[in-house]
Amino acid sequence: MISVRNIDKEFNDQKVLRSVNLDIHDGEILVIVGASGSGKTVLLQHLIGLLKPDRGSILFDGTDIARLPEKKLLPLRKNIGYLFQEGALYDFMTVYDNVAFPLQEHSSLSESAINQKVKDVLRLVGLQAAEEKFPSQLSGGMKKRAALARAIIADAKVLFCDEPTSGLDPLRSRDIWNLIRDITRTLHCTTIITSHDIDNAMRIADRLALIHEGRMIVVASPQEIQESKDPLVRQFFSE
Amino acid sequence: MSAWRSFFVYCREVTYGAGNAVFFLGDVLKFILTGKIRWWEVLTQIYQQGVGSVLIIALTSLATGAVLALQGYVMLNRFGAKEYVAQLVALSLVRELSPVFGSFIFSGKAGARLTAELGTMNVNEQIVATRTLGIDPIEFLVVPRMLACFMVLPILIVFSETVGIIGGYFIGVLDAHIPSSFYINQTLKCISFVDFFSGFIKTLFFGFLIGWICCYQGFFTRGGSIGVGNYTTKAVALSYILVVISNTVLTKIILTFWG
Ligand SMILES: Nc1ncnc2c1ncn2[C@@H]1O[C@H](COP(=O)(O)OP(=O)(O)O)[C@@H](O)[C@H]1O
Ligand SMILES: [Mg+2]
Repeated sequence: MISVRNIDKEFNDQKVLRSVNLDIHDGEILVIVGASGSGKTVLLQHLIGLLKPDRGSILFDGTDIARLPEKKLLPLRKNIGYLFQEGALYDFMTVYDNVAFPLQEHSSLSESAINQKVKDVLRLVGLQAAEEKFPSQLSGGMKKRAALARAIIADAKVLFCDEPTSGLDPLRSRDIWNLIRDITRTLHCTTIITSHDIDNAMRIADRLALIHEGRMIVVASPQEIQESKDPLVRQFFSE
Repeated sequence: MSAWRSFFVYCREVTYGAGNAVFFLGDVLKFILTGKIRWWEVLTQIYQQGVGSVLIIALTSLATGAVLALQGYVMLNRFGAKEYVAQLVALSLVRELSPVFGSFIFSGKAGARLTAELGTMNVNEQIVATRTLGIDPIEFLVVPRMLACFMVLPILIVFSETVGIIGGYFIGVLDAHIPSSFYINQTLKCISFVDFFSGFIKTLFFGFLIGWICCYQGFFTRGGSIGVGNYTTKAVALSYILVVISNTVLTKIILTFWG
């Protein structure tokens, strides 16, 4: 369980997060929605300690990661997966090596067991034919799949996805959302997604969080969102 | 007033940057001293940096050696000391020219490559992605590059000295008609351990300096493709300046102790 308590964040006098509170339950899919520039990525990066809040705390299974130095955070991140908006695959490695990398680093599996696992995961994301390609040879959607494979390969307990489908066509988007949902259910992980794809978010999320100009407006189930009378919520979700 | 202010801001930024660079170096050294070194990556980097620079260094060294012999012959001839061409060529190359000019070329080739590579990785979020994988990007991406820089430059410089001497030899023998065996003999006799070593120590320092500057600039590159261009140019320019300045200081120190 992750609890965000009253975090503030400023960049050069620009208030990006204002007193944000959020509880994330084990095993749920939480989608953080909001206009672009509203602070979704910044919030997500706080949840795994890539950024530190100016004030407030972030409890990750009871540990306040806002107070931990990077050295202590690194081992904690072995069991999380983070999907970057642009994939952030190593461009000097093939898809196969990118996906195998976390296992080679952290697991004690044999080379053949790693090989098997990488093949399985690549099949799961539909990239078995692209293992020997380099990231620069992949389309946007394939990059996201490969990055997703790398994020989940080490049996992620928590999966973070930053705009997993931005820049993809509606069909591919739908596929990736379904894939993330299926992965979450199979791995029994907790998944936090940022997006401004409202249709898919409403379809897949267990709960949604709406962030607006750095403020958390509402955290609720899709059904509650639909019944909400809050003008800001109505405005955002009826677009 | 505003000129003072911007001067003050500039000084503060330089101090801040230098302090940051020292902390960065501390991180790198911590991994090296505790033995967290990916030797396979180091070898790959040595290969890439070495192979990338070897041809251009050979070419410039050959030409430098030849020019030294051409000019040296004319000048020494005026004093009736044309037999000393071999010494002039060998000592200038080994003590000064190869270490300094070789380092310039190396920072323009391998150093620029380091900064551009790390800078692009930074801009594409590959460096922060490394942190999300539970791996320290300094250990994975910086340590092998800096270590390779430190190891490969001395090898290149010794190579450059050899090629330069060969360039001088061709001019000395073919153009100035110095007997071949005499030229070779003079060369071998004149280079003492101190001559070689004073150049070599400098080279070690330059390799360390170039690796440090270029990795630091790459690791903290911001601002997309324009940023990569800016930081890469900055890294190469800084390498030049600091190599020249530290060369002066090191030469003074070495001459004080060894004459
Ligand atoms: N490293 C940074 N330095 C300065 N400003 C930043 C930084 N990261 C994000 N911001 C600013 O914070 C705001 C929110 O950014 P972000 O979280 O990326 O928005 P989004 O909701 O689209 O993901 C933006 O206005 C952005 O300019
Ligand atoms: Mg974003």
